[in-house]
Amino acid sequence: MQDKQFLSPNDIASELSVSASTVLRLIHEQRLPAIRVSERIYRIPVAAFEKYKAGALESPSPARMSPEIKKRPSIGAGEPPPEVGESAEVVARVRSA
Amino acid sequence: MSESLAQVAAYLGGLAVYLRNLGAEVPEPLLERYDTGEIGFAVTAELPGPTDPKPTVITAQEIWNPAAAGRFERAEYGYDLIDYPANRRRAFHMHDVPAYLARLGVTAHEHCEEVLGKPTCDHYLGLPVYTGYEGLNALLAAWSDPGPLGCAGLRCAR
Repeated sequence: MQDKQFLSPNDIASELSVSASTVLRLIHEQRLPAIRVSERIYRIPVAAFEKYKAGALESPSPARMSPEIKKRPSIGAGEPPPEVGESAEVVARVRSA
Repeated sequence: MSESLAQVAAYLGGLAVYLRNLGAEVPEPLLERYDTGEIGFAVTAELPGPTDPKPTVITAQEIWNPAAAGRFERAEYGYDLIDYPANRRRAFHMHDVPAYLARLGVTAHEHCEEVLGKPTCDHYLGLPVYTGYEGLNALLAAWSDPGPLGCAGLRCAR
């Protein structure tokens, strides 16, 4: 496990001596952090599993409000929209495919 | 869908803890108020794992417009992954919406670089990402997969 960056639910099941379905239940109940790769595939970063084992997982709390009013940032700064694009009809076909 | 200020603050706090619990290094997030009356945030986290030449960085940036009765609506976003150890980039963006709608007929676009800094397409057609959790999870799924990002399978908008 030491060389791995990610673990599967089966890896975790072996580590904890529980079934894979128990691990999936922990993931679905959001008690074990996991990356959902697809409907049936999850990957757990080793660092996340270490936090889980250490009981060091955090509970969410609301973010603080910044005391100052700032200039509005530009998302995608320096990234102008393309000058020439495909027609809306082509895009509509792609989206409906 | 509109949210109250308190709901946006809770959502932002949740995003930061989501990343932290996956092992990321995340500074305390701050919900900012802008001179336009909008609110928003930018959260940048370092992901666990290899650090050569630099750790992988993931960023969530959102801008929320004021709506009726003290509520806000998410209007723009940028979710970015720069995987320095694997030398690649993936991103989901929605910004400059009128310009993108006029030129491409879509509100959202994506970025994909199998080799960092060498995109084969500047903007890929994208579908909207509905929450930060969805955007971050999609980027994390790409990060956790050692294979190609699959840029060649996306539709280049130009």
